[in-house]
Amino acid sequence: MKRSLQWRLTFMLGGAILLSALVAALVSFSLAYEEAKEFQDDMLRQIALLTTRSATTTSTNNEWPRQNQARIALAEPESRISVIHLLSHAPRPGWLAGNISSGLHTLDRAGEHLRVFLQEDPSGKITVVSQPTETRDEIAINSALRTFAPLLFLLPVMAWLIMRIVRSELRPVRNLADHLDAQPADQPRPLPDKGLPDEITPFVQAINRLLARVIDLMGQQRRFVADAAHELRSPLTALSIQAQNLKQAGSIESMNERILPLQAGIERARKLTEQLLNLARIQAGSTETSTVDVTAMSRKLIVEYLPLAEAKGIDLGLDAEEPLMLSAASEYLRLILRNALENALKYAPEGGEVTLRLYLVDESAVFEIIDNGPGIPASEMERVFDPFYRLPGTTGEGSGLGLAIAREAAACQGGSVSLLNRSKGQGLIFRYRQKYKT
Amino acid sequence: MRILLVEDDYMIGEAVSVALKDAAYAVDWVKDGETAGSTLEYGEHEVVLLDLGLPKRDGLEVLRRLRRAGNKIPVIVITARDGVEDRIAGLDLGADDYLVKPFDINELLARLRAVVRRQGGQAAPILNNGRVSLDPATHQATCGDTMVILSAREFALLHALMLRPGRIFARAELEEHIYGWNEEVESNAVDFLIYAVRKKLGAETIKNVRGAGWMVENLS
Repeated sequence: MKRSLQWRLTFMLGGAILLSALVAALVSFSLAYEEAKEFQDDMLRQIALLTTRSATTTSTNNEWPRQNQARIALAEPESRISVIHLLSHAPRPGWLAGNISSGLHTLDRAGEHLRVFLQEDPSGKITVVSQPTETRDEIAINSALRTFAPLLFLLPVMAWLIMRIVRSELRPVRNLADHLDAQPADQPRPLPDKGLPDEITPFVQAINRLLARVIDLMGQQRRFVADAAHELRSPLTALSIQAQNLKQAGSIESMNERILPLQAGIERARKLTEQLLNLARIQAGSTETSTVDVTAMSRKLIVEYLPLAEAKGIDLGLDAEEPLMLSAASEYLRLILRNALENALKYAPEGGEVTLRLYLVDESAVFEIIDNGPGIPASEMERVFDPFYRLPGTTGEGSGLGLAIAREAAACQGGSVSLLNRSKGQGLIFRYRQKYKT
Repeated sequence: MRILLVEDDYMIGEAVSVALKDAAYAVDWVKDGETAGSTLEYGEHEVVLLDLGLPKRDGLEVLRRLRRAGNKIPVIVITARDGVEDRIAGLDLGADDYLVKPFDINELLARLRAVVRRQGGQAAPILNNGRVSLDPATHQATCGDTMVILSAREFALLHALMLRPGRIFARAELEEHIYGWNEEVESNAVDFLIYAVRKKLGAETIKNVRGAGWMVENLS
């Protein structure tokens, strides 16, 4: 059977109606048939009664055969009903022979079935009314068929009506599909959910919810691309002016002096590009998960950032009590820790302290990067995770993507990142937490 | 000529400062909208280069307040906001020009000269008082048959005088035009520069008004 709801409905409803119509037709046919037969029997009975009475009343004894012979009183050619009067002791025709009581009988006359009504009054006068069953059946069938005919005529009408109704009831569904097809992919509008059947409304609402999420996500993406383009302008502007300044330098000394900011500008552009790529890679998803020796990884990271820390006189340390193995995407984990460490080293004051701390709590592995920098005002705590958002008053040299990257990477492996200001003393705690699976 | 640069991006601010100093402007650089607003109240500057995305107070707000206070100082907006609406908003709020990042520093300098020129009521790019003509783009000064290229500081001095021929400038005023906040002013720098310019273009170029200051005559 086809998958189309319209065809299925049409076939099943049509089939059910056809079946019940057939049963109804058969029942009404047989009822009508029986009825017609009974009616004819009644007719035979009434004819017998009438002829007997008329023969007795109109011509006292004339009509009735004196002789011992049967007399055919009436023979109607159309209905082939014949009435025979005879006396009880007179000899009867062969097919009437034998001891037949009063009442209705089906008898056999020369291979032809007859329906016979025999009435014998007390004086021994017998009236026999007969009709061939063939004729009777013909009449009964004809009248029964007449009850059947309207049903046969109604069936195609019914089928046509069912198809029309099913189609028109399913029209909202087709209209919805057309409406969806007509939506521009870049700016889908919600579907109208007014005037729809109750069964379809939940679907439309679910589709609209999905569309709303898609629109929201697309908006985010669009904003991100616009922001990214915007963010690329700053390093490019700086680079172009720095290069021009270098060209304008009048002496070797001033040239050397002007190369430094140019190099810093290039480094900044490189860093921004790298962070954009990191974010794109995380958003593309799926890197392999493996069992990571987190303690060893942390130690390596500390070693990597030691020169940067020492340049600022920052005491960079690791606080991990025991080896910790974690099922994670090591690349993501490293990105999270790197971004947090870089922030900490940036905001910790000269001669400050940054600690990477690992511990287990409530079946979770927790990474904390603790600095003694200025911390973050409570009002900015959520906004700092927005891409390209920088705290007011910062020099704008960071990409503004570090925390956004950390959050995305964390979400990718079911972890979470949070920031909190230290309760004791000054500084910020960056915390990454992930379920620890043994 | 003294310029106020309002830019929160450290690298861009520093690079633009260097470029402007190369072009003989005195530059003061502030990094947020509030400081820009309060600095402009002193009226020390002749042009403002204004970024829009600023901490504490948005650049457009700085501009709005500036114009509401009746300050007519030329403002060139320098921003990464390149939407047509942004440009229209900036210009309608009273910006004299609008430059989108990334820009070529030479374009900025040319627009700067154009804005200053219009501010002085002159349409011609070359300043002329009937005796001396000065090309701000090339720092070339001409007096009769003499044609010389002035040094950055010499140009800054003569430019300040030539923008308003007939007006007398006191020593402090001239120093203000030539030096930014962080630059140390040598005690007799102005005398020295005037001497240098006179030597190149003739003693009549800059007139000394005893007890008042210096001026270039308006002979045109």
